[in-house]
Amino acid sequence: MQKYKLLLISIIIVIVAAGALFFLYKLVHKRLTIQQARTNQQTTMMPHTNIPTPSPVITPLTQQNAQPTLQATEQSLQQAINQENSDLQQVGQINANNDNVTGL
Amino acid sequence: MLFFILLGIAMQQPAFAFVGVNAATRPTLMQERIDARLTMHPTLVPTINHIRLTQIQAHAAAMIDERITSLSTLLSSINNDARLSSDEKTSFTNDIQTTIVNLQVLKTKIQNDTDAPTALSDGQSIVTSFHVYAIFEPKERLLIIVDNLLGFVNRMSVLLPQLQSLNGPSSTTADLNTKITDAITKLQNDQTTLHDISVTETIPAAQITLSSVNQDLTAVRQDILAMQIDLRTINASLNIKIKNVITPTITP
Repeated sequence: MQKYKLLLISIIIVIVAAGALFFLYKLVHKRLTIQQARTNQQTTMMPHTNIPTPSPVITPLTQQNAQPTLQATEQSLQQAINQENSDLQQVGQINANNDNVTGL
Repeated sequence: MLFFILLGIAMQQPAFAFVGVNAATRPTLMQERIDARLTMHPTLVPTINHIRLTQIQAHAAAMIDERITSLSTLLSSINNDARLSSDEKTSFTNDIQTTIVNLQVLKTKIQNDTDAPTALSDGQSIVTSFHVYAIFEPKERLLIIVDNLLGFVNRMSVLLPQLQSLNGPSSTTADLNTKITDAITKLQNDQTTLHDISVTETIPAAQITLSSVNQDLTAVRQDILAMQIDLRTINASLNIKIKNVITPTITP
């Protein structure tokens, strides 16, 4: 009788331990699944929207776009002159007299 | 009074011989005095030579550093210039980098020179072989200006046939054509002239060439100003034409 009693207690302990282990396994598995889902969400590349690429063709001059084009060209002519003046000033600031061997 | 008497006596002493002497003749006198001392004390010769060598090396190093700084500034301005094409940037950068490297090589050579006359000769070549300020830098900067303007005027020449096709006033488009052609011719000539300038040529000869390029650039500026006026005239003419097309004719 004593022998059966011990066997029964052992079986009960084993069943309880297995139940606890099973519960823990389920819990950890659930957490891992949630974590995995989050990671996937972060790394998934979203399909990008199509950005129209600029056309390499230069729009020909027409009656409609002539005026703004000419105005813009006129402005860029002015900029070219201003830039040239500024660049020439820089050339003028170079002191050619520094190219001497005095002091050697 | 006593001060002036003492000063008068002092001025007659050899130690004060330089006072009141013309600045141009002072180095010669100095050299004569040094030579006289050295004849009297020959043991001083190696020491004096070493001091002279150290002086030349220090001065040459400063001269080279100054030039490398200027060239580095030029290099960064080229890299930041949005108007230059990548090919042009590469070409300018290579030119400047080569000069910087050659100056660094010369600096190392001077630092390793063991006698004053060799160091002096090498030091003089910092100027004579590079002419960074008198020729190289103005040449590169003018080439940048010429390249930029040429690119711009070339774009204008692409626009011209389109303006002609829109029936802009023929005399104005013809004038625009003349100005564009003149500017392109001048700029192309200047480009060749500048490329041909050598940094080892004499400063006066190089400066004549640089000055002629400068004059051409002034003329090109006048051309561009005239192009601006032509564009304004063409624009006004097209404006009138567009208005005529858009405004309906009112019939009584």
